[in-house]
Amino acid sequence: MIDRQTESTQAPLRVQQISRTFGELLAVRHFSITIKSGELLSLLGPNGAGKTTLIRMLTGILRPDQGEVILDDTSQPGRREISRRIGYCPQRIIVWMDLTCLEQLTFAGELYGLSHRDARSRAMELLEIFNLSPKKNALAKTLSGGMQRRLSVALAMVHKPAILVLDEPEAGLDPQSRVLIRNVLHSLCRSDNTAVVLSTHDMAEAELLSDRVAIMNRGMLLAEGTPEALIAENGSAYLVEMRLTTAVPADIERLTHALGRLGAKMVAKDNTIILDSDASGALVRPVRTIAAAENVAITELRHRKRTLEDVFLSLTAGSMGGVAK
Amino acid sequence: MKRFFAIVGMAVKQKLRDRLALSLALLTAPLFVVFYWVLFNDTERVYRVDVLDLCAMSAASCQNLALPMQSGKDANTAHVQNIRKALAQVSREQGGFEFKFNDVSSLSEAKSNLRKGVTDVVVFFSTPLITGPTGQSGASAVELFGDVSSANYQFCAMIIERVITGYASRFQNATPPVIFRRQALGVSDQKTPFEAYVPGLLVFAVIMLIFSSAMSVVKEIEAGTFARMAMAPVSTVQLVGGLSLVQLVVGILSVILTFMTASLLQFKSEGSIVVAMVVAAIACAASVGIGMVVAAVAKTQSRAFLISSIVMFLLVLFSGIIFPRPELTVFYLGGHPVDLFDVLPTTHLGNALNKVLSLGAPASDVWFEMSVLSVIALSSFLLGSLLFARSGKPAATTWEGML
Repeated sequence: MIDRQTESTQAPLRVQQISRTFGELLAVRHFSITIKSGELLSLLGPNGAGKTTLIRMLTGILRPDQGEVILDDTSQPGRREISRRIGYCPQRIIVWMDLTCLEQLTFAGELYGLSHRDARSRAMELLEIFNLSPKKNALAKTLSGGMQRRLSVALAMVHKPAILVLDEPEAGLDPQSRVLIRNVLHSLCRSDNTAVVLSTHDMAEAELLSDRVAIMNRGMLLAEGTPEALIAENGSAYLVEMRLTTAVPADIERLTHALGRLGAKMVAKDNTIILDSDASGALVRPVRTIAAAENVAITELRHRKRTLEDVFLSLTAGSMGGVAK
Repeated sequence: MKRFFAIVGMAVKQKLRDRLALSLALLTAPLFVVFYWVLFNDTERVYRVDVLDLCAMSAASCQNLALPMQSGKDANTAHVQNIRKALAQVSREQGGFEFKFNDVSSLSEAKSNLRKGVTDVVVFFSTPLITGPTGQSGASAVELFGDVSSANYQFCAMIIERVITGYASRFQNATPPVIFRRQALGVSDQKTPFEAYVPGLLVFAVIMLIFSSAMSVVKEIEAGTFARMAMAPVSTVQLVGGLSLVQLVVGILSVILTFMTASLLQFKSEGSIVVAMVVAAIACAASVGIGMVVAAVAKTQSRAFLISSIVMFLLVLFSGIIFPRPELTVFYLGGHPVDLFDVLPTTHLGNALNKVLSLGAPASDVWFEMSVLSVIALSSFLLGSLLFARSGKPAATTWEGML
């Protein structure tokens, strides 16, 4: 676990009660959150939860229909102010395929007002940070997907933004690159006091890396806090997880109904059922007995600690086809 | 066969879902037909004829006229008036065209009008039209000035020769009763077919820039790099301007190379090549500006290709460089009629290149075309920037995003 520093009181970016609709779809509704300097905030949510819409409002790409975005105490900041203070790395890889790594980072620096010399110097620094120096003169189109992704993240950082917003930066990355990006983001928060907002599906990554996590679903903020607090606040510290051979809904329904007699809080998704437990694991034996009685075969049954992913699954169960009891 | 129909089904669904592209593909040609019908169905082609009657200006020029009852001057003026009436009668009978006559007082004025493109033909009566009493022998001479490569000139000359011959044959029995001398303006009579095509090829070279500039910007939009640049603190004018400038330089280089190639292949210009290149350069800017508007509307390369093609058709079909266009004067600017199709850069580019390269017009004779091309370039560039500011920039007010 990465050590966390004392929470900064600085809050360069705040959103208050923002909402955004697209036709009939209410993508984000009455969402409020504060983003603090030197803090890494992870946005978690199933696909379609409204994460990207929220990020686009944070970065000024979209204007909220209601509510306000406050950047450095300025409500509804102008485009130039947003550009200077916020760096944004979108979900898809966006690089200039016909420019070399060095050329495009230098160009991006110049777009943000750096002199050619400073922009080149910053580009070299970023190439070093993202382990792309050996490829500095390679055209982006000749790089691997992982390298392009790193370059795309580096482009968002050329102007040393106070707030860095990344939309699923880990997508398509190999494990080495994931670690590299994780270290870069950690260093940004701790050394440069940069606020980092990260949208991700990688729960383990979020639990490991985040100072704070915001879980959203159907455009709403469901829970917010440190990973530890969220785990502690959303059920017991331990769980019993059972994986079944069957994924037939009728079988799952029958089994969850029978397990309900145990009085434990439970989440079912696909062929997996998770029950709240205590440290002793006393629930394992009756669970096995009930499953046998209901004639449902178990492929795996284990007693383990609750993770952020469990919290996420339990909070978003409805939208993911799961059943929370 | 099942797989084949599955592929057809998939293609149909995709086609139906891109409504803009489908609408453009389906409706462009019918709309052009309707447009042409509206413009040409009930309109007449107007041919402008400058008349220079030396007798009308100086009685001394008509001294050899042998009519007893009238002075030579008055008699000749009456004949010229009768010929105008006869020409008007022919146009009424045949339909579809009419002549507009304009009296000029000197050959230099007439030639200037030809170079400026405000007249199609100059009929110069340098001697009395009727040289003697009815029945007497003796042919008179009429000179017809114009750009011999122009279809308008050829048509006018043919009708005018026929009418004057018919009229004069009633008064004198020489065969032919009138000797016509067609006088080419500039080098228009010496042009080879190759030389006649060069100005048109230059027009195409310039309007091809609409494709290349629209496609290059749309490529950035599709790759997301346009949005990435728009996220930086740059204005849309800077952004669109920066991308346009490169296209403009490419276009100008292409024009220079085209001129150099034509010159190497013995293309002769009557006027200044530099003036022609300046005109073409301004037209390049207009094409790039239009390309930016196309890119702002299209957003994808396939749509940009489709819309650029339609714009090119419009620029070619309604500019008068290939087909005649009706005169639809909207208003007058400094005495110069401003036509509905004056918004098309090809109209002015074609006119200006023809004037300079074929008729030897100086820069002062193409100022109007250069001015209009500059206005089109500036306004299309600003329109493109405005469209990008409205649609492609982060949430900010349009003008803030633009400037």
